[in-house]
Amino acid sequence: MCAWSLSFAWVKMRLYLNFGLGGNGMASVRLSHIYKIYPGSEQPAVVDFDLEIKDKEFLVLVGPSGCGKSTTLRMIAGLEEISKGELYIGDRLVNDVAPKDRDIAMVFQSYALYPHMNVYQNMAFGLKLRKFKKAEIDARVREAARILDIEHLLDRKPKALSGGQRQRVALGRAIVREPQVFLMDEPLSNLDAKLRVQMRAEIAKLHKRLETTVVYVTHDQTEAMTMGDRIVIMKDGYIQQAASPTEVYSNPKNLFVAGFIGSPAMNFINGELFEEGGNVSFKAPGLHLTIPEGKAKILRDKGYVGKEVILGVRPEDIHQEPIFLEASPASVVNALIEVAENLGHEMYLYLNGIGTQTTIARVDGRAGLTEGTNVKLAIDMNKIHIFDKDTEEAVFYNATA
Amino acid sequence: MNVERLRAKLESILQSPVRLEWKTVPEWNALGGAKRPGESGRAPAAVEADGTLYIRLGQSGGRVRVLCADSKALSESERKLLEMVVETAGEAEQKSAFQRDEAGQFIRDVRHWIEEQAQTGSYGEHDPPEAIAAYPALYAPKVPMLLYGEHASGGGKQDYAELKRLLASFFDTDVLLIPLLDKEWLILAPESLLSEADGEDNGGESYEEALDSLCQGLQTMLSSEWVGECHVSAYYPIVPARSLPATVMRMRDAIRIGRLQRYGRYIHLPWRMYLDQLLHLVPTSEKRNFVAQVFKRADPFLDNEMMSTLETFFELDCNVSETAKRLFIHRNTLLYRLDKFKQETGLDVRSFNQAVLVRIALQLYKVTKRT
Repeated sequence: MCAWSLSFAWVKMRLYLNFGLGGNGMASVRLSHIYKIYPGSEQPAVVDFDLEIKDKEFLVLVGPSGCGKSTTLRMIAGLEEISKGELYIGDRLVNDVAPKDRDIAMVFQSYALYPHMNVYQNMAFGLKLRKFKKAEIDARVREAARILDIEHLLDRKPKALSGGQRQRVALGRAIVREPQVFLMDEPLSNLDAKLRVQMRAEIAKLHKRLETTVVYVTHDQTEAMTMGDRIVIMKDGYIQQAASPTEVYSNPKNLFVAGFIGSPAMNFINGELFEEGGNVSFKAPGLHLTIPEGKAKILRDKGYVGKEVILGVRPEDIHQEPIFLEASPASVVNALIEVAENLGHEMYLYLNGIGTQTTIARVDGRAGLTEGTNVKLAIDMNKIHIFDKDTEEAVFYNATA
Repeated sequence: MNVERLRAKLESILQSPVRLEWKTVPEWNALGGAKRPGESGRAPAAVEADGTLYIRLGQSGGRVRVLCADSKALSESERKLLEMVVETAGEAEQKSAFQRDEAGQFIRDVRHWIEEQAQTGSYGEHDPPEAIAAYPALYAPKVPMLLYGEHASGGGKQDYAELKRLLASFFDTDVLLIPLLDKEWLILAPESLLSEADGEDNGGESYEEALDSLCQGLQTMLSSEWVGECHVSAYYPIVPARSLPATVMRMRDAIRIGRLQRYGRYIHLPWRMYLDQLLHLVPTSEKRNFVAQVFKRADPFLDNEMMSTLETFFELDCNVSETAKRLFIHRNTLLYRLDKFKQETGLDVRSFNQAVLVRIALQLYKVTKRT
């Protein structure tokens, strides 16, 4: 037997012995029509969750509290039984496989450290259990500690660590395992803002370096947008939309997704569509807008003209620059600035007079606008969204975009 | 020795099928496994027939267990190594059998003692029976912990051995592990564990805090390295020979009531569950009446979001800022939800007396919904 085939056999054997892997080691995760129904509960916590997470993908589950995102992650981890449906990791059906045999590593917000072990031992424990050689354990622990900037804490007991340091150790405990799939549930929630941004970047870098599939649960849309290859937005146990960050932002499937992603949130204005001089117009209190021809055609074709709808416009698509006002005379509106929040590089204007509710515009921080004054603004009509008032589905949503 | 694991490992290393088979003694003898007349020494441990290598693993009830491999796929040295590995594993098995018998007797005695006391309902401190008094290990102070593995297969030998290994590795010391009821294990760990968790500054942490963090760590470890979620309880250090049955009953009650009333929680410490234990004694019909009186017709209003909001609010001692932070919502959103609840039920959870009512009603509501 030549040297390379010997070493290949060794690697294959070790994979088998350590992780129970008999297949090709692909770490896609397939959730096929998964349901979670708790005993005694009338409403299922997760409903018909059907999604394939690709090998090496960074998938983020996001949604309001109680939407089922953590339950979904716990089912992938094997900590919750699946009421209905099938779960595959790679080619293996794992519905009845214990968490330890799934080749996953978990970092949960509530995950405790082992109090009687120091940081080094905490991180090394999983490897020791899997009978890794001491030298390899040492190398992995020190490398993870370096990445997480906790090298100086290796001898400390968890009790002597701050919340943020504990969270980093928990992350380190997962990293050293180098698993096929990382499962993370709000892993950065205990960190301060600065560390959070730093760790966000570190996790993203780590994902690229380890080439591992990551399923990440967060309530924080900034984390979702910046870290995920794909975002799954959930509400009441249902997937609302699963797409890339750009896609969910610019092409939301429904009113919920449109309102959930983006900060400040998208503005929603109730109004009516009608035909006017060969154009389709949108009318609401203080607002009279002409819809661009491409969008108007879709509205006509789908029978929305003459009906009440909801118009959505993101704060950054409402402009105050003179050049934009000149170029878009059909979408100019007048509004009163109730509040002006200047963040330096940008300014949020809380406006009265567009529709019946407060509308927010994001303009240049140097615009020099003040509270209590009237302002002329123009809406970028090519960026507007129209939602069905009953189904709340986006009329212009293009599934193939 | 787990023969199935051994088989799987050998198959993986040899890259060739390896099987486990049972043969009757005549079948084994017919294959050539019997000692030949006039031959000195032991009977052969391995025989080859029809291109298959059979290696004897052991004998039980007139049947011989054999490991079978394709002899053509094996080189001479691989074959010798295979025979040696199987023989060594067999010897280790024999050697540990005696120790297992001793440990088995200890487990049977302790289990019998606990269950006997449980049946008589006599939980006070008594002199231990003679059988128990013979075990010095039960006279050293121990930290008792009770484990209920929701997804464990039920305490078979393999489960026991695996859990024992795992705990020895986790605590880095030998712990006493005693399987009790179905899926229930008693752990007796050295008292020194609590001071180890306390670290260098050795002070400031109460027994309750130290036991809590030990249970949290154990639960986390078992969730990821054993069979998934499990419920854990613990009690103050005891001398087992004096008060083990009473302590086990306290922890067993805590887990039983905790599983019923504290859904989604896995650590059930008796000193945190006085109210749960008291409420558990209330008959179901009275529970329903109480819930109906407090919530009036607001039942459908208690959706998942409102439930988790109120639960978190009470868990954090009615602290608005901390609750909002934990729920990742704005403080005003929380206040809006609490006001909405007040409008529906007439109960303001920011007032102490009404918060007590809601806290109790909420707990009973969850129990009655599930029964």
